[in-house]
Formats: sequence, structure tokens, C-alpha cells
Amino acid sequence: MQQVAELKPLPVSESTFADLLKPLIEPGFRLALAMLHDSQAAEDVVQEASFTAWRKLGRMRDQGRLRPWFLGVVANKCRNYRRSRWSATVELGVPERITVVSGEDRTLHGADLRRAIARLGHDDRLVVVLYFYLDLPVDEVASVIGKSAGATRTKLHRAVKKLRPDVAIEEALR
Amino acid sequence: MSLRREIHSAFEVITPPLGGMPERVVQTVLAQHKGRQRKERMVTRLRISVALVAAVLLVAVAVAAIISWNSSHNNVAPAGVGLTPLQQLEARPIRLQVFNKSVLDCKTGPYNAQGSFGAGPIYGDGGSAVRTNWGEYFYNVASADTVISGPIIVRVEDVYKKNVPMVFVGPFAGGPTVGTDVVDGTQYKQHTELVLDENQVDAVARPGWPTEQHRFVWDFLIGIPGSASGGTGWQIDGPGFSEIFYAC
Repeated sequence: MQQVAELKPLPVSESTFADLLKPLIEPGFRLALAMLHDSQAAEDVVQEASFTAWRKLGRMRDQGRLRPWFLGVVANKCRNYRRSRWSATVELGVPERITVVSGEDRTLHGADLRRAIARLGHDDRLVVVLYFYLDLPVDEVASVIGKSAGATRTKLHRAVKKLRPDVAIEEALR
Repeated sequence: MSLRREIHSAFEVITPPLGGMPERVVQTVLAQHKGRQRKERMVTRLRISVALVAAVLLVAVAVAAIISWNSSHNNVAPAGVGLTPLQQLEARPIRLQVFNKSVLDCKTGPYNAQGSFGAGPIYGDGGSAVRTNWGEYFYNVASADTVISGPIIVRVEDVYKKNVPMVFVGPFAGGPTVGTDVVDGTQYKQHTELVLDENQVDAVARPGWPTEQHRFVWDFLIGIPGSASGGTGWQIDGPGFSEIFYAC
């Protein structure tokens, strides 16, 4: 659930909207690209999320929380996009088996790592992308996914363990 | 190299330059906002008109059905007599809608709490796909937790186009044959129905699939031709239930 206060909408001018939204497009696009692995689909998702932002921006009590809210909208659009496709793994070329990384050889090629992330469930993939790729602090990741910081840290632990069974969790989350 | 740096490296190589995307996105929102408002007002008026026409038609159909039943029920054997359970299910009419985006667009769902398609008792999950010259085949999964005595048939139609043949191949494919195709190196007959039975399920669900905890699981292959819109409506009929969901 998003942390959006349902208060009386406040009017937002077009210039204010542009000023607020523009800085969010790039992180939104990076999030969508990492979730979908398709730049065209990622741009479409960000565009749709921006329409949602325009409609709902006036209802936000605390516009300082705009970034996690917008990223949450993008994440939901990504989930819906993959569901509607019924072909979540098609565009990604994900093999049946992901390369297992031994303790001695901890270097994954980028493509293998992307595939491994693509094999994670939506929620696990989301926390991994937000924390490791968008470099959000745990508190902000928690805001995006609508969980407590503690629960988010637990999800991150689990996701990292699925992604890289051999990696030291604390090292990964440092 | 830290995991964070590895992930950055992995995604940066596939990230195209943004160029003027932020400005483009914002301008598109602002430009389309007014157009959308006009369109939404028009669609609302259209929906009201369509709803009125549909209501009139529904009443007419109901009256016709009652008259037809009254005139014939004493002379004709009740429907279903002499038919196998599967034939009885096949005789059920398709209730799937064909949508028109400009009037009433298709809405994906419903889903269950785990995010699988369907409101039960049968649920669906998508999987990987392979392309052929004919179209695209999806390795999907159906599942159930309740005991269902008798066959279950699944029929699929395009949600935006009429008469687009959706087919099933491999295990559990049934009903009329409409062609053949080679999928992943195996030649299959293309059937128009999927026929499921809880006495014949896949023994072991694939690890990692969302359905692995389900009591009954069927892996199946559905084929969607290249001419399809991409949106599908699913009607699942079984003893005592008829279920519909859409993947638009």
C-alpha cells in the first residue's frame, strides 16, 4: 500500500507539476527498465505513472514523500504490465536454469545477473532494484513498498539470499 | 566487486540515454490531460447509451427464451440428456466479451490473493514462451485447491478481435483439431480446448512457481496466433461452476 494521504485535493499548477515530476522521471525509468528489461515498455510505464501523478498529486499531504510515492506507482504499473503480458519471462530470454555461482567464482556476467534478478518474484526484484540499483536508503525502500524498515530489511536479506546464495548478507547490505 | 556495483554495471549497459525524456513525458501528460477529459465525458455518455441498449436486449432475449421454453419443454428431452459430462460443458455458451477500447476497455483480472489469475476454483499463472511462424506459445500453469469431480474445460478468445483461433497443444489439449505446429522441436496438433481433470495432474509442480503449493497443478501450452491482439479472455467451465478472467 502506498503512503498517500487521502485529503482534500490541492490545486497543482502545470509549472509546479513539471518542476516536481521532472526529477522523478529518470529514477522512475531506471526502476521500470530494471523491472521489465525493455526500454520501450519502461518509458510507457513511466508515462502512465506520470498520468497517475498528475491526477493524484494534489491529494498528497506531504510532497516531500513524492519520490517514494511515484516509484511505488511505477512499481505497480510494472507489475500490471507483466501480468497483462502473460509472458513475463519471454522478453528477458531467461534460461530454465540460472548459472550457479560458486564460492571461488563470484563474478557474474552482467547478463547472468540481470537474468537472475529477473527470476526473482516481483517484490524481491523490487527491493533489490530500489536498494542496490537506485541506491535508496532502507527507509525510503520501505516507503515505496509500504512496509516497515525492519520488514524491508528482512525482505532484502531474503532477496539477496535467493539472488546470490553464496554472498555474505551483511556484506551485500553494507 | 560489491553486489551493488555489479548490479549497477549490469543495468547501466542496457540503459539508453534519457535525452529529453523527462520533458517529453511531462509535456505529454499536460497535453493529453485536456484531451482525456473530453474523451472521458464522451465515453461516459456512450457507456450510458450502451447500457440502455444492452438492458433492452437482455429483456428481449429473456422474453424470447421464456416463450421458446414454454413452447418446447414438453416435447424435447432436457438439455444434457445423453451427453457426456465433457459434452455438457462444451455445450455451455461462451460468455466472454469482445471489447472495443473506444467504448469499454477490457480490465485485466480478477486475481486471487497470491496474484494468480482467476477468482477460483481454477487459477492461472503465466510462464515463458516460444515463437513459431504461426504465433507464440506460452507455458502456462493452471491450479486448483478444491476437489472437483469431473472434467473441466478451458476456452480462450481474443478480447479485441472476433474469430481469432486460440489453441492448446500438448498435454491436456482437447476438443476439435484446427491445425498442427512444431513447438520446441515437437510436432503437435492444435486443439481448441484445454481439458483438465484432477485425476490427471502433473505429479510435481516446478520449484519456484507460484503454484507449487497448490493441490492440483497442470502445466499446459497455449498458442496465440500472430494476428491476435495480445489480450485474452479465459472461460473455465466445470461441474457446478463457470469462471471467467481476462488478461488484457
